[in-house]
Amino acid sequence: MRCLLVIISLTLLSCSENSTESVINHSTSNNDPIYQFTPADIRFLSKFSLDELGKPPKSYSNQYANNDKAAQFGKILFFDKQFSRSGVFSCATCHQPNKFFTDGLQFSIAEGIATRNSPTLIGSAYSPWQYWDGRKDSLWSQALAPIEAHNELDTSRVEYVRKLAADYREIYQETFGEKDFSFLNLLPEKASPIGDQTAQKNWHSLNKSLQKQVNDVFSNAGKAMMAYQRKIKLPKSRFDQFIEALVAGEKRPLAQLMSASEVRGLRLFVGKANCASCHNGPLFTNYEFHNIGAPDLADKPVELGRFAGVKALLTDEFTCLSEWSDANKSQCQEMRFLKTKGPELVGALKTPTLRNIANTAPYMQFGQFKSLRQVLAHYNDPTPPVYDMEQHPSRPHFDILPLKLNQQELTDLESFLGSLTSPLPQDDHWWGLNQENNLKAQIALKNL
Amino acid sequence: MMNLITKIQPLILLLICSLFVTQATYALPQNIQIQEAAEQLTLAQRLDKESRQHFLKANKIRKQLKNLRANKSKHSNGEDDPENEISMLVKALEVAQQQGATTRAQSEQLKKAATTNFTKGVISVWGNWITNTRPLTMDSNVENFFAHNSRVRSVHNNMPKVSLSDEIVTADRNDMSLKVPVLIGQNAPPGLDIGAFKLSRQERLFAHIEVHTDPQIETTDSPTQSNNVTAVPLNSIHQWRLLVTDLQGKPVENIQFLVEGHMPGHVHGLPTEPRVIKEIEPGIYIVDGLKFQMKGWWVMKFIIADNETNATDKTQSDFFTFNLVL
Repeated sequence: MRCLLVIISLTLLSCSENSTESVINHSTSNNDPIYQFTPADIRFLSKFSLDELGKPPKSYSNQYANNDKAAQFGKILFFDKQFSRSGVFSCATCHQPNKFFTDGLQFSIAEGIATRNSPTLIGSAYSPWQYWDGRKDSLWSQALAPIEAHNELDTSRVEYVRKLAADYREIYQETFGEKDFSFLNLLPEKASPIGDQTAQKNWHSLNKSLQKQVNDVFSNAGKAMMAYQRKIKLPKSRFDQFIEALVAGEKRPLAQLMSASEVRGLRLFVGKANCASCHNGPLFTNYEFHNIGAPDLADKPVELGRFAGVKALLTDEFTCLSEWSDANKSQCQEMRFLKTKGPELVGALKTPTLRNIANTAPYMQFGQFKSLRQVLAHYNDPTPPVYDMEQHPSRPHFDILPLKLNQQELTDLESFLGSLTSPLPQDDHWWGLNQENNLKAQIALKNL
Repeated sequence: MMNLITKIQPLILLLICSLFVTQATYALPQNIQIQEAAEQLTLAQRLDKESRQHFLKANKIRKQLKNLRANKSKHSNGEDDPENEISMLVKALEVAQQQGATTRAQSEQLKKAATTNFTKGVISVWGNWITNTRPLTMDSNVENFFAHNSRVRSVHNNMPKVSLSDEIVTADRNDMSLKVPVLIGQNAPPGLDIGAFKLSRQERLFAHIEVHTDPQIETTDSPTQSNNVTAVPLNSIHQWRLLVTDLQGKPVENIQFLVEGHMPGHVHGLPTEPRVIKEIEPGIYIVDGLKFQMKGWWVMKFIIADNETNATDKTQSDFFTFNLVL
């Protein structure tokens, strides 16, 4: 039997004899050809490792993006339930650290029911666009929207600023400089340009200077939460350790890091399953917009995707080009040269990261798929989007072709995706996994 | 017609000789190459016209032949045997086609020579603004595989639909055991002009493109940006200089451009909407907002908005098309 194995592996090895570079054999226990990678393979795979990630890109619109104090303040705001109408919900309700900053629900539940599935926050600092359709151009601008959304925290910006001034005046001033909050006395109970009728009416009755004072504080809160989210770092997953071992040419058995099925899945992932054409780089995403034809929901409007996202960006009040951005306008390149037309926008959604994907079900913008197996089944035999002439501005794009993988291959791919889950970093206080630590940090900061 | 060809032959020889002469004698007035290029272009255009006339003539003969043959089969017992006439016409058709093909080839060759001369002339006149005369590229260390790989159709109406096989073709790399799919439809056709110097479609203007670094703009920390002057960065917004001259080598000012781009083998245009933001010197335009999210064959089109016609009326406007293989 052993003889036969040797013969088989020799035959397989001889298949790759024409290699210009020799195969690196990592350990005698790694004789399975599935574990044999050439230097070119390893160079290619290393581009997917967390080691390649680097720091989040420079933020021109948020001067506090890398400010530690702002990050700490942002963390408090992120977890504080007082900012929701009922006092029950916070950002962390839908972005739970122990679920890799998702909530495991098809549609998130806060003051109401959300219209889309909550994406993870992990890696979002690296994306030029936020939300599934990219309707926000920064994390600070994004962070402001759920606060006022009636089905999320349902708190108008005037109420938010008032609460912030009451609870965190000192921290605010330490972070953003001296601020005279006496303007609050001139404000109605609630007011916002995007709230309910009363809020809107109240907002429009305020003079420009008062509106500006509110927006200054409000946008700074967003900037603090952005600074916080830039601190959320992922520990290495088994996949990263596997690549690390390959790169270092370590002798430890690779099979202990990734099973044969996982490695076969990895080969499919970058190979004929073609996943890496969009899910590439250390975060397994190109952060571009594509329409993969995830089914629309019955009785709901069709998914317009990036087409709607771009429209929203053009009227958004907190973009890089806005008064509340710290950038000079020439630095807002993505907004200045925003792609506003093209058939490829219709129904296209942002490629999500696949980091921790096995632990962040359900999937797609409406949580249409309950399991990774369902997602893979869709890619394997996708149905193109249905063209609804009433709702679609043009025929929706369709960016994928059937993979036609067999059951074993689908199983292998699914196993591989499991290797992308990182351990939850209990001691990383930015994650806020340890509630006791959270509380201590909060008290410590309050007593600064 | 043969007369014309024999007339032209010495001229072509002279032109070819003059190419070598001008290369050797840079002390000549700077725009001599441009003058020559303009002459070559005029001649090329005349030959092009002529070749079209030959082909028209060939078409006419073809029709005559068709009629004759039809009649022949109808009146096979008739007394007038058209056989002689047919064979004469067949010969004439061959001659017309041959002449058409020859003059077209000559025209194309002359146009190439004209472009070469324009390029040389423009480089010598506009040397201050031209730091890169080679085709634009992306650095070779940029991974070719990191691109989405749609195999569906091109967004460009004129492009043929990419025919699809069910099989995903993998890159044939003998240094890899991973079967990474090749980027289908991204390969430019062989012999495609990927130069950074181009005549406009209507052959009225000449243009050059290259990557522009604005010293006032802080460079983004893109890991793919390099010091290589030909290198277009991957996935980061950057600027180009677009230099436009007329056929005398003089700058053409105050042009309004419409910028378009797409990947012929793909389902998408550019990920941004680039535009000309300013003219920093007469004829030197800055194109901003360019971004290429993957390697491969890109086509960039600068449409000239005519004052008389509408900028969006693309059928009327002259334009520059640059093919890039990044």
